[in-house]
Amino acid sequence: MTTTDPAPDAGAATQNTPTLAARAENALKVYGSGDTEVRALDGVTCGFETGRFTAIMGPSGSGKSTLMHCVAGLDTLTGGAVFIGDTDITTLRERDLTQLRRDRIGFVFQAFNLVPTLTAAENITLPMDLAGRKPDKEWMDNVVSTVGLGNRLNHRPSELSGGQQQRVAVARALAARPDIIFADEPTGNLDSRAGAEILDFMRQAVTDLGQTIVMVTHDPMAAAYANRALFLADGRIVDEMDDPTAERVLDRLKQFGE
Amino acid sequence: MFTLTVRGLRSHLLRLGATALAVVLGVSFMVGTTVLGDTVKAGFDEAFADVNLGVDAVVRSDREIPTPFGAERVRIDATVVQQLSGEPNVAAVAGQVRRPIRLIDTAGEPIGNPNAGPPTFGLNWSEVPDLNNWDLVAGAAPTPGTLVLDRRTATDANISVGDSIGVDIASGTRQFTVSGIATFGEIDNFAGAPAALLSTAEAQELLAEPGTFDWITVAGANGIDQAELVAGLSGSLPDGTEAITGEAFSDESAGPFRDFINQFTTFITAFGVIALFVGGFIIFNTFAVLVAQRMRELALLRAVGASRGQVLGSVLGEAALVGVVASAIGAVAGVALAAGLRQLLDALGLELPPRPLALESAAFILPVTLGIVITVLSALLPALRASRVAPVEAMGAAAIDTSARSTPRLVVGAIAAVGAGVMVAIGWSAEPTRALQLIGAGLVATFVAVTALGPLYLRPLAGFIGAPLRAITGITGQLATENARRNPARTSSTTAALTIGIGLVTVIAIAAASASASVASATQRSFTSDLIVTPDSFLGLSPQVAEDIDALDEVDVATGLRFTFAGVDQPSIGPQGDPAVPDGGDPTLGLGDLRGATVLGIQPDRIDGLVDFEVTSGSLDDLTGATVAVSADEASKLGVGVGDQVTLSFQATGEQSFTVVGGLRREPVASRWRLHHLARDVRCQRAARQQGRPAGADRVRPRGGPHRGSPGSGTSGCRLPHRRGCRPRRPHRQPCRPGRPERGVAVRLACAVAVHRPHRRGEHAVAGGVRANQGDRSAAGGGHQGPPDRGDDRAGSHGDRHRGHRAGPGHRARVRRGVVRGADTGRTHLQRAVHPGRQPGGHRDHGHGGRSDGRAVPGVAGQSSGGPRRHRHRMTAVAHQAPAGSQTPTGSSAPARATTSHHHQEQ
Ligand SMILES: Nc1ncnc2c1ncn2[C@@H]1O[C@H](COP(=O)(O)OP(=O)(O)O)[C@@H](O)[C@H]1O
Ligand SMILES: [Mg+2]
Repeated sequence: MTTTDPAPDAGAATQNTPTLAARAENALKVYGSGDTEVRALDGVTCGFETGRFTAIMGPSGSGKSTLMHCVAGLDTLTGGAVFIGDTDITTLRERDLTQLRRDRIGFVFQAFNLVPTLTAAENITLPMDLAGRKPDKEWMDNVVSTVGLGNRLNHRPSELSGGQQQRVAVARALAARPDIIFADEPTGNLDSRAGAEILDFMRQAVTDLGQTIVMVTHDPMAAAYANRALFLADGRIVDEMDDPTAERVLDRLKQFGE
Repeated sequence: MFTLTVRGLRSHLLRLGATALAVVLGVSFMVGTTVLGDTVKAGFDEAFADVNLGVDAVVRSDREIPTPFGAERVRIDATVVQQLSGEPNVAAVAGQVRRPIRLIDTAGEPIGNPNAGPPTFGLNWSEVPDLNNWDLVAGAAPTPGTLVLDRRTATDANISVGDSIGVDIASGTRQFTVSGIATFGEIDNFAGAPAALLSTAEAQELLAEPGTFDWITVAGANGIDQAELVAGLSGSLPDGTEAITGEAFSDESAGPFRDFINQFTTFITAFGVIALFVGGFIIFNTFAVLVAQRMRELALLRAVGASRGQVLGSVLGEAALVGVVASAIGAVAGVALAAGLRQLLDALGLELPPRPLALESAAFILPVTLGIVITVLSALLPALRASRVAPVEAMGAAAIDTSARSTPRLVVGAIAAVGAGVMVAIGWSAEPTRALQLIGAGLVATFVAVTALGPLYLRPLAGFIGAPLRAITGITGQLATENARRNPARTSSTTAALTIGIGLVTVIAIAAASASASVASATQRSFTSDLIVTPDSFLGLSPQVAEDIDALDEVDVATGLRFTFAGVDQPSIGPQGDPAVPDGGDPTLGLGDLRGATVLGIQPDRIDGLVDFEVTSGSLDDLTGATVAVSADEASKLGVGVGDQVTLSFQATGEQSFTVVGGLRREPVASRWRLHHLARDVRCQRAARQQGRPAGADRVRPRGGPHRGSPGSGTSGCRLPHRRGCRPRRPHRQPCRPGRPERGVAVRLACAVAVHRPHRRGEHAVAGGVRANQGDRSAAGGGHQGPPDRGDDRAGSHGDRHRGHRAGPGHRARVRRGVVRGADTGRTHLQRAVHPGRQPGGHRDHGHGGRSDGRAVPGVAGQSSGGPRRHRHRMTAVAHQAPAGSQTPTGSSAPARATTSHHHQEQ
């Protein structure tokens, strides 16, 4: 569990004293009521450090996706609070929340990341187009060359492989230079090689570009790309691990089963 | 964002294309009819201005008699011409006569078809050059016994100067020599209406009344303003006349065309509006499906930062693009449609003044706006739904249909249902125009309710209807049924277009069926005779026909019936001058205006068992030349009863006073030919213009009194068996030819003959009817102008006056085969009698008056046979008000024929 000062000064953001790009405080998410009540998040408090790659691990149904959705402002909490930087998003109006997602958050989903009628390039600039902003040319070139799509940029998603699609999705998330990128099982639909490419790519974005990424996964191999892993079970954070490796993560996960 | 909209649109172009078709259709109908209307109206306005070139003022009677064909006016005394000549500022004065006639070519064939296409007009050749817009291109001006023909008619019928030509007028056929050929300025004739120009004196005598004109045209002295001229004249006009400017007269003359075109275009515009309405449902459905399909995509957009407004905008933008493109295509298609409709109207005989299409921006603004607005509005609900998608849905399950249970949907449905009920309930008893609006709106509301509430009943309904399907086809049927039930909202909107289509067709079918049923029952109730003989021409039947039929062995009794129109003072001169008009007349009429009434002339002593007028008071035995029986409806409008006086105005004789001697329960006639009449109006007016004789102002129906078109009476030109065949084959912009039937009503004046054969009907209720005046002072021997013809029109008296004439009008009467049913021998004889020499195929008999069976009736079949005739049973007019538009009690729109009363409604 991260125990950083809950109100870090923006100006104080340095490599030495890591600031939090996002955090949840006592997050509670309840689905249904009475007999059918499910506590998807049962008092989660956690933070995601700026410029680091965090993996959220846990068995199926443990609340990983729910946590991500709530922290990313895609869904609302039943109780508790979520901060993106200094902004308490639980108090935001719908309109401001949309704007926050657009300007400060990037997403990579497991599938169906791209608008099918737009080309890869158009998908990459979509958040900026929605905001009515011109993309930063230099940054775009940088991102695009890192993605390595080359001449496929003008193709529609249906003309790209799954791995290419996910790379475009990551590029889109990076292009708008968001404060934080959330990825929900980004490699879940890919074969191991394509998956490894994407994970490499994300890792690179963190180390080379200083991007903050939070990734939900149940794959220990994927978690090994992260700087840190949080373990979730039954809607609670049960453990965390710095510089996880596949073996250590696998071991840790096996403990849940016992 | 715009890219997104355009891309989205492109990705489901096919589906949207089909959607847009309804909008294209709707917009093109609206644009097309408006453009056509503008064009035609402008064309007629221009043409009438040409016709009245040089006419600065028109003097005419101020007594306007409304008729189902438009208004006509009492004729004006010729002495007014001299009087006007003496007025200051008057340069020239000319009296004008116009009346429908029928021309018979050298081979004895009718020229043109008086009942189809433009009517043929008899006009006077004005001796005043300034007021005669005809130019002689061959020969000389007409003198008594000769006439000038328009060039097109002459060319078409291959007639040249010196040829002999027959003219059918009410009293019979007269031979003339063609003295000259004339054009109307550059034009050969006016919109295809044949014109024969007689010398003024002869025109007055044969076409009007000696010493009268239909109207008088006045040319002002140099530079005088028309209004000034009229103001100057008005002071010195004789009583009962009025003066209007030439411009006003032109404008008035174009009025009926405008009205007709407006009706025509309204009719077609209605289809456009319906198409748009149906289109709205289709668009709604399409977008609902599109949105449902794209839920994840839309949720993704929301997740990556698209606002609700942006999502809404992208869907609406797509709809707007569809609307704009479809409306634009519709606008272009509309112009093409206008051109096409013009050809169609031409082909139908409504030849329109040649003129480029009038493309006024107003014609496009409304339809295009409507097309776009309807498209966008229809997409609004799906777009709103799209904008409400939760961003998390990008990650998960497809949207579930919740609208079936949505409260707004139920509320809208309930309100629409209640609204529909209320509107129909109110509309049911409202006066016609409001009723139409209310019930129309109710209809729309019903569709909305049916669609909105679909989810409520579609599930069980689909289950019920699907049961046999399941039983027969097993799993396939099961799947189909379940699919329909699974998403009832979708099913409901999908079926909406079909619901509307079938609903409208049903409404129209029921309306048509009830209309014809009510006409049929009205006719059937009144006409108790076995057969009814109606003329094949609007010129009517000769009274002789009734006599001749009456003389047949197998006929027990036959009687003639005659019709004309009269104006009734409004508000009426009630009993003892009581000004109260109980049931009120027409509120649109001002004080002193006349209301139109149909006057029926009968022979009361022969009417028993033939026509049942259901006398409720008084007695028809008291009918004389100065008495009248009136229908209950008319009596209540006038506030009169037996013993009271009513004043009627007739075209030929002006005001006449009658004593009421009887009341009748109902009209013996009902009308269903209003449209045909309108069509006929157009033809007549057009013809008038072409001839440069804007006869009585447009409201004056200068076509002369007695005959009024019976569109439809197939006429000489076209026998019924050929009706279909002789539809507009003729090339564009040609005058009507024989063989082109006109639809509509029969007889203006003269008679339908009701026939009773013995041994068919044992007893007849003693029917009243209006009683003819036996003595018949104005009748047969007549020729006298003396005691006014009392509402009787002029056909008869013409006959009397011009004894040398051959067969009277309507000689081509015939019995329509196949209508008279059953094997009764009477039919054959009757048929022969009426139409001697007729071949079984129903072809026209050229041997007019020939006696193929020795029973031929002199004068009945030909204009070349038949001698002077006495109108033994001239009938006196009896007033009764028939609903506007009613013409003939026979209710016939077919060429002359006989029908059995019982089958009457079937024609
Ligand atoms: N929309 C929902 N309605 C009801 N329960 C839900 C919903 N979404 C998730 N849950 C429940 O919440 C718990 C956590 O789900 P989730 O966050 O998707 O788990 P994970 O992503 O770790 O597999 C699960 O028990 C799941 O069944
Ligand atoms: Mg999950």
